[in-house]
Amino acid sequence: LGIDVTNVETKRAKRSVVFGTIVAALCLASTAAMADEVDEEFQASITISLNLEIMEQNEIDFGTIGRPSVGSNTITLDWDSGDIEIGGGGDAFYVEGAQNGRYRVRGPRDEDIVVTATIGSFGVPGIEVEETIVEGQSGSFLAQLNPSGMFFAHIGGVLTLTPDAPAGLHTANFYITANYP
Amino acid sequence: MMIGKILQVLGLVGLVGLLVFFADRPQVQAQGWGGGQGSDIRQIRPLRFGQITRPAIGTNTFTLHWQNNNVDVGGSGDGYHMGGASSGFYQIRGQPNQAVTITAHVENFSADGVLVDEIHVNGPSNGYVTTLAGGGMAMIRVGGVVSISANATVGLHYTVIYLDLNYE
Repeated sequence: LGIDVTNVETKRAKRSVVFGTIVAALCLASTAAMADEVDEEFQASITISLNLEIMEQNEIDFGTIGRPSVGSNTITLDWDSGDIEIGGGGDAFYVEGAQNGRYRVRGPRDEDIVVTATIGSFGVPGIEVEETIVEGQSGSFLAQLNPSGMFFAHIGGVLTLTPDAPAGLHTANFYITANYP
Repeated sequence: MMIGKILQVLGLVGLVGLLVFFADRPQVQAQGWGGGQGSDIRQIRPLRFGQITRPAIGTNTFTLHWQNNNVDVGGSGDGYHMGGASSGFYQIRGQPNQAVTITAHVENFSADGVLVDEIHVNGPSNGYVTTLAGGGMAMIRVGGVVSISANATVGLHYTVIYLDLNYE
């Protein structure tokens, strides 16, 4: 009986040796593989925003003005209220129909922008564009888009009117741009 | 008999060691050390292409320079880079004085109109060969080129960058 027990233990020992060897080989092979190559992954990001867009909501209109018979007048279209104020030594008078310009700028929320505007020439004698006013400032205005990515630019201007201005409806080009400062 | 028991114990210890070895392999993390067995890649700073206004028409390319975080804009569109870009910055830890190749791959963002054209590792290609210093360290910076079209989906997008370290 004792001899048989010894044989069983010897067989178990042999199996253990084989098993231990396989385990050790697996560990070594895994270790070797890890030493030769490491693969990792991390995160990368990008944020896409809308480009600046401008949409006209109110067209600028100086309305109907009675031209001066003598002298000259300045015609100021208030950028905020759209009211007309007449200055100068002439006898020009305002009739009706004026409105300030209103333009919506859309883009990335909370971003600073510069809005620049220019009223072009009317192309006739007696009507001169003196100034374009953006949010109370001459020519351009530094603004910030609101948390919804919007800004509303209000536009006015100043004309000089003289007696030689031809009667009738006259138009001029209006240019407005929005950019990042 | 005693030898047999010792060998049985050793076999069990080996099995437990193997289980522990695989159980303890680090999970992928955006921060911290990855890998195992002494060769690791650590993220110091993530790769960010920053904030880009998509073009109204056409397509723009935005090249994020790996070495200085600058972004160059190319292409026919009127897209604009708003800032916030940073090249990826990673620390390699491995076997000292060993030659290694570090390769980067980036999956495309899951957003329309946003394509990853190129990825750059310490130079103009996506592969970089170097010898780890005596302390087993190396630093890499990762930049790349993305194309943004007018139909690019607005918002914050993420993707995965894979870094592979191979010993020569």
